[in-house]
Amino acid sequence: MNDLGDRLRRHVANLTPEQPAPFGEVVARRARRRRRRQAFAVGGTAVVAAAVITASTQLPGSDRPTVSGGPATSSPSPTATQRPEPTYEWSNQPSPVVLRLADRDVELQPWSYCWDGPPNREGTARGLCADGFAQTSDLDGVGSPTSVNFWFGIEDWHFQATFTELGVDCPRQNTVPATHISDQTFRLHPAGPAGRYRVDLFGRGRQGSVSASFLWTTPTDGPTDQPAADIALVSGDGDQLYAYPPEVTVQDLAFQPQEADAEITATAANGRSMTLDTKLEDHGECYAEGSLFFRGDQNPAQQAAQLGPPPFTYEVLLTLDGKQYVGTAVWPRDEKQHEAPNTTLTFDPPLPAYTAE
Amino acid sequence: MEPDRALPRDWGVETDAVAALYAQSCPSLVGLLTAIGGNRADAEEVAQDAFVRLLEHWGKVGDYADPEAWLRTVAVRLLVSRQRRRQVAARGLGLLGRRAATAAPAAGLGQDMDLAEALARLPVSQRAVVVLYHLHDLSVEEVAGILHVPTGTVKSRLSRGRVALAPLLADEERKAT
Repeated sequence: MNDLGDRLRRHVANLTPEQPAPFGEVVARRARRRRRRQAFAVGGTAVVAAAVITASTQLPGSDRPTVSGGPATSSPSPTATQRPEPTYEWSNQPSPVVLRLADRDVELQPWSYCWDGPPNREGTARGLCADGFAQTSDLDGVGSPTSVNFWFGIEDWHFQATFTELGVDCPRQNTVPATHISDQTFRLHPAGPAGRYRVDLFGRGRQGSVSASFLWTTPTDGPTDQPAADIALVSGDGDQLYAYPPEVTVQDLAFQPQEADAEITATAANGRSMTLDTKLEDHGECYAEGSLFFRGDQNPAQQAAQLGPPPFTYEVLLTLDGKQYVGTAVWPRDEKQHEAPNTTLTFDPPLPAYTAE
Repeated sequence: MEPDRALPRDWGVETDAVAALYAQSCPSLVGLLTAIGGNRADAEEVAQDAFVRLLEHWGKVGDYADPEAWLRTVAVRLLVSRQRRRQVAARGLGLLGRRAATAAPAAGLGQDMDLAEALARLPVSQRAVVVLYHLHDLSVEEVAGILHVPTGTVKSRLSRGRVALAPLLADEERKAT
């Protein structure tokens, strides 16, 4: 019983009180909250009036442009803007992402970031991570240009964008890289079938990482994510090798198989090998079509880690509705950077890919 | 609810439904929040705040297939946000040369002190990812949805959390053999 999940379950059970506080405290708390709101409403009439005026021009939640000064229509394509580039000086606050639309700039403040500021006189830099809540209804919209250019205040950064279709239950997501068109300016093309999307930009560079989002009604189809699969079994730090309950994750298949099975064979460098069974896990109601998740037990994983020295060769026999696919990977060669112990599997024959109709 | 007690003026039909859910779910929610936040008092406070929000949104959330999932999402977000504000305040106190209070790991007599201490060493956002993923068997996408962070962020926090907890599990394995 050394699986982390089991141990956490026991830990949380020990921390769970037998009886909650009386429910009346919740009701009293709500009453206090209402009183505070009422007091705030009386004192803040002028503020509310100003907010209503702003809301009427910003149309929160729509994908219409949010900054006045140009027509609220789709722009056919990005054009080389005559406006000067935005400016940003490296500080403890992350750079904004500035959407450079044909008729205006839209500044997006990252809602989630880890950011290292410049060193002070003593040579010490300040690092800060923050997670915000970016509600879709609060996001800026860009209309329906054929592509979107954006600017970031630091050079040598890389961005990718995840497109999530709006108005669809448990939608597939598509992720594409943004293309550099100058040191600090990027171009983004649509991904997935044409439609109305929330676009989550994720950027990474020496100073950290940032996430910023906007809404975009894409006028044309773009590429869809290709099927991908990972295995997690062992990982290590220096000479120490750790075993994890085996997991196989498969995403972006063409369809949701009715029956699926994954069997793992791990082989150490000395040729000793063993086979590990996994079970298909149910992951709740909202899991994008074409996704599978298998998990096995911790104890066999411990045995696998003790087969012999690395590198370990993994072979995953994946059966989808009766058809077999063989995935292979070598640890540590194929371990994903920043995502250990997840290791990329390559399949033969290739997994069936989804294409937008 | 005691039948012979006078009810508050704003006690409505939705209050009965939420009270029933409270009796059933509040203890486990407090356990989850204590594991993530490291502090029982904070956990109870945040759980109550989450139920206040549930009362306010019951018209909509009451129709959901799993109101508990909604409640858990709200509560975990509230807790992470509260802890972050506290960290910022603690940093401010540190700058002023005052000692900031630190939370003891969430464990007591007969409880898993090793795990509690190992969890306490993780930042709260990493702890939330590890607990939600391993305890509730949520997918990376679902954890990302609860915490409102990209899936890449969840994967990397999960990875760092697992690496940090791996020596603990290895120790237990050694003790068992």
